Amino acid sequence: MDLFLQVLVNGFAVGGTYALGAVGISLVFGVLNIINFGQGATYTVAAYVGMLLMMLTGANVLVAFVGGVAAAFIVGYITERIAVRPLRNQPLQMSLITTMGFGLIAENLVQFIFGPQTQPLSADLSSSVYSIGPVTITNWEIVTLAVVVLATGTLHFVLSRTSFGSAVRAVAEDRRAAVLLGIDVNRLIIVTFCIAAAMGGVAGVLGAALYNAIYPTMGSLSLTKAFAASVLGGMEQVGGAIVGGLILGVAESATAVYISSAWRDAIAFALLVGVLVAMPTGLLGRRDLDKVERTNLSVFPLPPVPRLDLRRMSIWLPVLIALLLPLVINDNYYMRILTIMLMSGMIALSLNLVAGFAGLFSLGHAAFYGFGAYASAILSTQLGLPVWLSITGSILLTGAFGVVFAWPIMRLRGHYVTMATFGLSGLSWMIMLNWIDLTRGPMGIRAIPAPEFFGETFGATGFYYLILAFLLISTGIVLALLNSPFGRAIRAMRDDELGVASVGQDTRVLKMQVFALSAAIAGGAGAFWAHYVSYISPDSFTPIVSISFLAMVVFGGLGSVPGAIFGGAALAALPEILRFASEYRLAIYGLILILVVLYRPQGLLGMRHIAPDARIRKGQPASNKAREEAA
Amino acid sequence: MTRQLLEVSQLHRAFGGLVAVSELSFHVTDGEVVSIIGPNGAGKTTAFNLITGVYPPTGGSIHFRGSQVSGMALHKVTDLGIGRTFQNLRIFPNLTVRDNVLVGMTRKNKASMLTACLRLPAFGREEARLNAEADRLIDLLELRQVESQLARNLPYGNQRRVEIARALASDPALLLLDEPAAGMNPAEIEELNNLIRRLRDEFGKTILIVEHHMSLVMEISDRIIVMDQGRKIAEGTPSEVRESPLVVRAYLGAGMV
Ligand SMILES: Nc1ncnc2c1ncn2[C@@H]1O[C@H](COP(=O)(O)OP(=O)(O)O)[C@@H](O)[C@H]1O
Ligand SMILES: [Mg+2]
Repeated sequence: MDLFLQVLVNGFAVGGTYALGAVGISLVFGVLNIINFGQGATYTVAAYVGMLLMMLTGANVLVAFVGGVAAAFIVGYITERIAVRPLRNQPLQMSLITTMGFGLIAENLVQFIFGPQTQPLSADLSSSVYSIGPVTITNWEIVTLAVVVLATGTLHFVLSRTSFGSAVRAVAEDRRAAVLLGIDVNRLIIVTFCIAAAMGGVAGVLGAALYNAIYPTMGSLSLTKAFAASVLGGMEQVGGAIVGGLILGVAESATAVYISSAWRDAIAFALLVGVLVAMPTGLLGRRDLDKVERTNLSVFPLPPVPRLDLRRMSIWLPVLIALLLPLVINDNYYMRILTIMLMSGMIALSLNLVAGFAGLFSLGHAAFYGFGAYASAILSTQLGLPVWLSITGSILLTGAFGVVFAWPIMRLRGHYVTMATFGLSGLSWMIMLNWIDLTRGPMGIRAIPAPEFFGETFGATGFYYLILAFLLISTGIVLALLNSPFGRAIRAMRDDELGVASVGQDTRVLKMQVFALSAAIAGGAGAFWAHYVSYISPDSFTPIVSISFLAMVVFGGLGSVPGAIFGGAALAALPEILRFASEYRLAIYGLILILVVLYRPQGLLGMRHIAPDARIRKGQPASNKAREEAA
Repeated sequence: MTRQLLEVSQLHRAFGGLVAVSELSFHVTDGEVVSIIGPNGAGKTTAFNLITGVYPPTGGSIHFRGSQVSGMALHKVTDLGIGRTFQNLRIFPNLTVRDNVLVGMTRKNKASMLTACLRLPAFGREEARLNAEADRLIDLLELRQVESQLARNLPYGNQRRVEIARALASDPALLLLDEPAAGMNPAEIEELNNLIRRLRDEFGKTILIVEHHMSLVMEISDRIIVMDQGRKIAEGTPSEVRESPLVVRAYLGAGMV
């Protein structure tokens, strides 16, 4: 009982910081219907600015706190202006990608400037422990709880009692009507965004003080927690977000105490998935999921699917070049880069099937890639299966895993698909880290055997041809299926799910099929990787890796087969070619995400589209939605 | 008593506090063209959505060919033989007209994904069969000239026809059309009129149609059902309905002619 009280106290303190982050997510979702994947940046920046102030100027904690929150506020302002405002007429997922890009840049820059290591917020941060009955509580826990109560209380007052608050609620309810009421929606959105960012900043500094520890990836981790808490509370409910944060905090501290602290960080991922599957509207959500309808991607035309016509030169020329390259290049370093390029092309191809053609923005592909790698590694090292057999087995298993993976998200749409797959990716990563018996945890699996071919073990060139074969086969399968009833159906599903159901096709089955296929291809790439590098560890399969796969597809062009392969290959090569830049790899990906979405949303090889409101102005047929609303 | 093709009884649906459809009972006999008319918000589209399982009713029952379909999912209802179009067009804007029609036949495709991957002869035969069938629908709906255009680029009247072709592609016995003439010009409405007759007479389809164009409704309907505020207020042949004082009042009350 005493232990439980202690769990509650610690849980509330940590949960309070999650609640603040979740409030930030929910506020932005409420007024804009977008999920701010860049929220993590506000934590990190606030914490490091606080640290700098204390270290350089010897400022006291209060000044550091105010400085950190102000910095977060500015980060929010910049994010909104650069990554969100220009995208008002785009499908809502586009701002999800740009904010993601922002998050990557911020995290990467912090890491570059301050190094990847964990450091104290301040070396002489005073800390004292008080005992109240059987429970001990630190001064920072008290401060955290007090600040959380103060911040959420103020926010509640602002939202419920001021004219600004009622304007926020009006915009959340119906932005169009709010404009008619004379509300300056743009101003309101940016103010809301900055408040949300400041909340993230408060959470960042408090979290840093609570543990007296800061590190560059603290933002991503807190972002995950904020998502989970916000989803748990019903996404757009500020009150729900607070409750969700506290529940998550307590659940985590209970897990750490009663189960194992290793699983602590898995709770947020598990909740994210579990809540979205079991009750997508969350604990306190009132509304249906219908707001997400506006995430329809159909304003983007897809480029024509290349015909699978083997007589055409345009298909054979790149194949021929790829076949001949090893004859020209005999430097192992370059062979390695080429091999990685082809493998990334294969992963991007598989993700494009789901994200580009079926319109499901999955952040789960690191899980498939990792599943394939681990499955083949385990089959060959622990069960001693021949390499070819374990690769084949791992491809089939990953396909089956894809079905299991797709099942929970079948009812979901738009952002919720992205959040749920992000959660699943995180959960898979946690399992790789913590199921030590099977995966050897953080140590990874070593000495994964290379395949043999007629008694000859594969060398650099052999591996190159192997991945080339994999890529060609999977491209062939993808093209064959896209030019078949199945391909037509998934492209139709991207435009209109209800329309597909109205001709008798169960869209859930389609989603399972497309996920199975996509997972199998990504799993093949993973299996290849395991045997190629002979050592794998969970680090290569984090949710951030999922984001970089999405970056490849967006860069090459959503819904373009050659685009995806090109995007995968190019983004894999970029950091290697720009040697000096490999430190900035994630920042480059982030920058590319932002620039592409802003200036060439169809990607390098995708198809141009016209923003829906531009079409109305030109008197061309408006989209269904616009027509409906005009009626 | 002959069994009705579609039998709706005491259908009820509320959205929160708002009752959209209430105590709605009617039937449709094989080979009939039946219209549902009524002012905006009368619950006509909701009735369609309930019949096709877009959402479940909160009360009442729906039988199609004698079997209970209420609460069934949309794709299952379609499989049983009910096809539909939507008031707010739900064509696939980024697919060509032909592909829109072909997607309508997805369920008829017998070639497996494996035969498609390997491009086995069975796949080619199946594609040829589906395309031949699509050809007939494309001709029937007079879409030949635009068949390889993206549906998004078509004028509104053509888009409506694409949606009808897609619905027909699944071979429904009963076709539900939700305001098919909306946005069509008089010439197109005349063609629609002919099409509906042909569908009934040549193709043996039964048609349930929601429409505001009174002249069209009066010409094609065997029977008319009048709804107001979620309820059926009158039913009869076109001439009976025209005469009914209740109908006149409901329409004038809603400011319509
Ligand atoms: N999904 C829904 N959620 C809430 N209310 C709805 C929904 N669909 C329809 N309604 C309401 O039900 C009533 C009937 O609508 P509808 O069936 O579309 O009318 P009609 O097609 O006759 O114009 C309207 O008041 C409408 O606002
Ligand atoms: Mg209607």
